[in-house]
Amino acid sequence: MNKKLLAGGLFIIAFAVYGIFAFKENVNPYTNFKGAEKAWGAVQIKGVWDQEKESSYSVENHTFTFWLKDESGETRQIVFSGSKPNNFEHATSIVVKGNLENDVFISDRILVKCPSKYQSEQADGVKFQS
Amino acid sequence: MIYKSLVIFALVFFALSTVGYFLSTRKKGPVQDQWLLVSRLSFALATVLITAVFAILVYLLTTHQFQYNYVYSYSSIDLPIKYLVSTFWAGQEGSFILWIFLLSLIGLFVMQSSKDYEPYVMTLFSLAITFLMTMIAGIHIGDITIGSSPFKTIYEAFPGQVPAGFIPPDGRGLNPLLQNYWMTIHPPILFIGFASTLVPFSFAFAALWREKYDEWIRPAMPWTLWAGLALGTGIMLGGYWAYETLGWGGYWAWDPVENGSLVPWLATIACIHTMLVQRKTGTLKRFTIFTALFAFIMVVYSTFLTRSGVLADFSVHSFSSLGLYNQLLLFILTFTGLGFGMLIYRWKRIPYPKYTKEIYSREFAMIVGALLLTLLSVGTIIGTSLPVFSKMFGEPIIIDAAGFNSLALPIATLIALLIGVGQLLWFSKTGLKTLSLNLIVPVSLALVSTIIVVILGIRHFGMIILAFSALFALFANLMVLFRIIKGHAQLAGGALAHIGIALLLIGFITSGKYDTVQSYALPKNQAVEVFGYNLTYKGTSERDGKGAYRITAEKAGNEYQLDPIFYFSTYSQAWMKSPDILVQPTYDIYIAPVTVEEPGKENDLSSIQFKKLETKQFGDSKLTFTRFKPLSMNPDDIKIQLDFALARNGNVDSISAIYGIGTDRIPKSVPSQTKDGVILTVKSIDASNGVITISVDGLSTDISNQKPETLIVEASKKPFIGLVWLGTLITMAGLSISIFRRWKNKQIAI
Repeated sequence: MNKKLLAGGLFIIAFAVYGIFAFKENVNPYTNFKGAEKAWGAVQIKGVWDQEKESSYSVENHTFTFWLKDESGETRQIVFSGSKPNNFEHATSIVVKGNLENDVFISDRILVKCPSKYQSEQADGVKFQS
Repeated sequence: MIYKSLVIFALVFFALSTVGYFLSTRKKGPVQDQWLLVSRLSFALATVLITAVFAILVYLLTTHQFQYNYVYSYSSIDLPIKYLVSTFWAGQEGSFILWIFLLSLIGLFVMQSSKDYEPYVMTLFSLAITFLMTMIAGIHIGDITIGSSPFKTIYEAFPGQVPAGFIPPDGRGLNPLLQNYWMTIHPPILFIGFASTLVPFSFAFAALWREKYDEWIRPAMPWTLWAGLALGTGIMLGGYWAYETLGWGGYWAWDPVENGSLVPWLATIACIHTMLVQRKTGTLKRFTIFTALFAFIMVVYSTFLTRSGVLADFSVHSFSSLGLYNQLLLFILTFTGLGFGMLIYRWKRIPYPKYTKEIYSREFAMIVGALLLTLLSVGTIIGTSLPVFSKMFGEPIIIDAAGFNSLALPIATLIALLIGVGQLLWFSKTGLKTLSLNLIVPVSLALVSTIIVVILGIRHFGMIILAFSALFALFANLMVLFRIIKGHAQLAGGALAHIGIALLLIGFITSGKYDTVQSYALPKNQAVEVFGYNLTYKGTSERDGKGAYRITAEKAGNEYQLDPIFYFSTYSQAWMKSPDILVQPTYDIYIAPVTVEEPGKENDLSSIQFKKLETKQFGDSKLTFTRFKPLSMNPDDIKIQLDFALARNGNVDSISAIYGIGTDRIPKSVPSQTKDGVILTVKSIDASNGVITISVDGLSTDISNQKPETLIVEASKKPFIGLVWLGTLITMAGLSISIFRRWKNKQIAI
């Protein structure tokens, strides 16, 4: 075996191991609020905005508070450090990343899923609307 | 349908060209010439047809032929012509047409200039176009539909829902986020890049096919540089659009769609470097072929990821599937199988001359650099695909931006060091001694500047190391540039491109890691100090024909106007917000609107939520939910008393309302009234969350000392973000110089 090839191989393996660790540290499992109670680090929860309940933005704390209903139907309060994301009202679903602290979910990232900006909502079989 | 049959004919002729070129590789003499002629003619004819298809769609869009579903779905009468252009590639079908159109034009160039490579290269070229053609074919065979036709009528798209021949009076319009100058030019430039990567792919494949492993580099090189230029420019424009329009404050989020263009770019840049090494030393033949194949395979793979719908759950962009999943899967499998299959098949027979140069040579730096770029691109695509594959085994694993950042940080640091050392080695030709002499200046300058940036506030260890490497790369390449610019200006491309990368990295550090975000309330006509500027909210205004709010920013006698966009879009059924940016030489002040608090509007008293012991202010009254007292917990007759304290003008009234649920399960509420007629009614109780909802009547909220209309904004200061754009521009300028030089001697030596 060529020495240089060996060095190259070791280099690639070292990188692969590093890559796995870099990714692993930042993996946030998808779960619901029940799962978040047991989780260690940050988790991601997919749900829909519960518009029945109050949502507000606090200028002082720079936080946006709202209620999210997860896929199992449980509703909890979310405190997001940031302002209300664009298109929030228009979201088909919302993914929040963060931790549950004392019944309140503290989130540092929100993914708002909208009917695409690249593709309109209509696919085959969807009702015509004008 | 004449339009649809044009698409079908184009598909047939591209397919014929594929077959013809393939057969011509297996024949000799006059038979080969005949097949070549057939293939060329079919390819040229197909190009004419796809050009016609392109022109027809432009015509349909500009003349508002809303009976066509594509026109109806993406455009409307009120769109100005500049955005009407964008509607062409707003949907999948249109962007496929654009891609095919660009590919066929590039194909004509390649056909003319590839000499005896033509049959091999063009077989692959035509095959790829044929695959893309099937995406817009719209052929029905029994229950199976192949491709989605851009010329589908409303009636075909919504069978049974609209009468035959129905023409809607207006279209749905273009997504307002896409109504932006950058979004008009970003997609075509990116597609030029995607299309160009097919050239090195086809040449690399031809090299394997013919077992001639060196000759292909020269003709493929300018196209590879061109792909790097177009992809890089396209990525930057996309980033700038995100920064300027979306208002979250950044330009790069490691989103699957973004990664889908970054990964082919990284592979293309790696390919450029291995090509240079191979030309100089004759080594690295396999690696060069791998990177050339990999770049285009990644283009196809990201097309698959973003258009098949597999990533729909994981991307900020969700793509409705057009039912192209199977076709796209076949496309990616075919090209991966062909490319890598052929590479593995030939692997043992590819000569690998020993690398004889010293370790401290420019070529060695380029080999390591190319390896790092390839690893970063592989790592990024694995991270991007992880959700799709992990989903098959349970919970999907999603890598967020932080994961990609930590993956990229050490690689970027090493690459920056290599950029500096490699260029100095090239400059010093050989010899450790000259190298160390040449290192002194850039290393000292980098050390001094690193100390300065640390003093200025960069603290994170990884960032300090990256800052040092990037500064070193900057000074080393500046030194090289200054010395070669006289006399050898045509060689300046490399130094310039690397200076750009160094600046880009410095821009990443300052703008990505050290920006400050805060939100501010700006009462109308009252100045608020934000990052040293006196910001005053003045009222409504307009920008680009969209509703906006006017803010003036005053500092040291200079006044600037900012108009962050904020309006309700009927298209999106949502409030659209775009930031406005005050650009200064060393920083950007980025103002994103959050909300407007209108006087009186907050005092909507018909539905107020309270938690226990919570106090809310209405006008100058304060209402506190003081007690929750169950009177009867009998399941057939639940009765609860809720106590409130209402504080006004120094007086406190206590109000008790009763809420009950009897045998009929219908909640009953007994309102409570104060002496002066304030009525409080409990509307609902959410026991599990401890929240109650009440309404209040008769509480005067029209009070003179009410808050004025207030604009809430999110403001951030982004130091040296201009370096990101400047760096990219300089890199692209460097690449352009190199293309110019390589284009002049791209001739194939026979």
